[in-house]
Amino acid sequence: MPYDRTKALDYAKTHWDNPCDDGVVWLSNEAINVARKRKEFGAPEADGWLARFRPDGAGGEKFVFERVRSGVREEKLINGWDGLADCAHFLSKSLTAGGATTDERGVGSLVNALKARADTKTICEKVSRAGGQRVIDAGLFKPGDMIGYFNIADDGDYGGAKRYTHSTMFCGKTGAAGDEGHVTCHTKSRFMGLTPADYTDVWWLSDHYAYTFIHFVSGDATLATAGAAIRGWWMIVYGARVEFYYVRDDGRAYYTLKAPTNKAQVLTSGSATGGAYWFSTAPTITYCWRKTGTVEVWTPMPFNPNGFTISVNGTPGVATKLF
Amino acid sequence: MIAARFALPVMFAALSGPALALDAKVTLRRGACEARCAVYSASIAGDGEVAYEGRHFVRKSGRATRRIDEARAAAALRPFGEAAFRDAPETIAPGDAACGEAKADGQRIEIEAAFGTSVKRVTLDTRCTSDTARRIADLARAIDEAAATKAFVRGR
Repeated sequence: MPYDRTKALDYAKTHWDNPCDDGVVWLSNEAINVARKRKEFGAPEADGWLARFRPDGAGGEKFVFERVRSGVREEKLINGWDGLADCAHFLSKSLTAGGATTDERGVGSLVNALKARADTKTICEKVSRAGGQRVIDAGLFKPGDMIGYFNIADDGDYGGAKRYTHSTMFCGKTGAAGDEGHVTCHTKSRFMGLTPADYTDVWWLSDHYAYTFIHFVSGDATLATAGAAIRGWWMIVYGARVEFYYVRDDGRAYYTLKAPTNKAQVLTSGSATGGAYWFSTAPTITYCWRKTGTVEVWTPMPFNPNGFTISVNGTPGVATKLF
Repeated sequence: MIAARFALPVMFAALSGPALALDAKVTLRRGACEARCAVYSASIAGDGEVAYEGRHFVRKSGRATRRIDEARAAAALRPFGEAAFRDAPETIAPGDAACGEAKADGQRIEIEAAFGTSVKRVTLDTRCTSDTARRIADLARAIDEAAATKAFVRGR
């Protein structure tokens, strides 16, 4: 069953500021069982008590039971900001609602599990914010796709640990000029257009991350026609650079700086300088290079099936088929 | 509370003098931040007892204690009798005059210096960027260094 982006986002929208439907909220080292807390706190749902994540007024978040009685908001604190860590759990539940069954508590294991799926493409891996923005602006990263946040700062997450520390689901762009794109997540709780004014839900969150974009292929244009047209070896010239691409008809491409010597030569991920996924964006072909988030658009040359005008991060060039 | 306030000069005189009272104690409590800051407390007592308790996002959870010699403890406690701490506001948070410009994310830090029943407590939101905020953050780092918390919390 293909991944259903709408269902995943609907789930996220329902639960973005409250516990997932398993009634569990994860701290760094243990789970909070909401039903048990209801008994402990004397906060039954029948009396109007709702479990919610709310800004704590000091830059953090708190997990509370709240209700409004006679216009007065009442609150019982379940857990303060210390220890809340529900992002991978929320992502797992949202993805599962969309048909991509996942059950991970750690961000690193969630990223690995998603990368290993046959229905995903890791469009870019540990790229800069600028690289991520290029991929988003190219329109290939879609609502319902997942972003992994890899800490790169010595004073960043988990005391400067260089590893994946946060995860979100991409919600899309608002359509406003210059909008960068927005996400949904837990800890802190965000959903595009609903996030409290205390903090942002713009996708990059902070400059102490590198970003990994994992894209579900569900809804992508088929590759067969374009693949038949572009598979093989190409010479790419843009700016002062000359590169050679080996394009496969399954949506992958690799590049090297060394010219191929014959048609039968194969370039693999192990021997290539870099790898990309390409997408059919008829009439163009769009490549996203994994290590850098470089976005490259090929536009067919009129009356020349072996030539494309190209744009590599905005730099113009030419692609010529070798064989 | 009033008694404690009047007692503060006495307390800090004791802290800043050459011989430090053995029951003097400074405690650092670090709270959460969106960057999964290590949540823990560390204390240094005048008698040389150093205690650590890791709670969240730390390499070591739970309590650990060790001893340092009294001279090192005295050296660690001494800055808390000096003006940078003694005259600091009790709270430095966005919206306060002492905060300066506020960053997007930060950690809540509490430093408590106690001498007998007299206590001075400063709570800092590290989103604050003023000189006062930086001085208190430096004092917090000095406690970390003296208590050697790095091995318990870094790079988890």
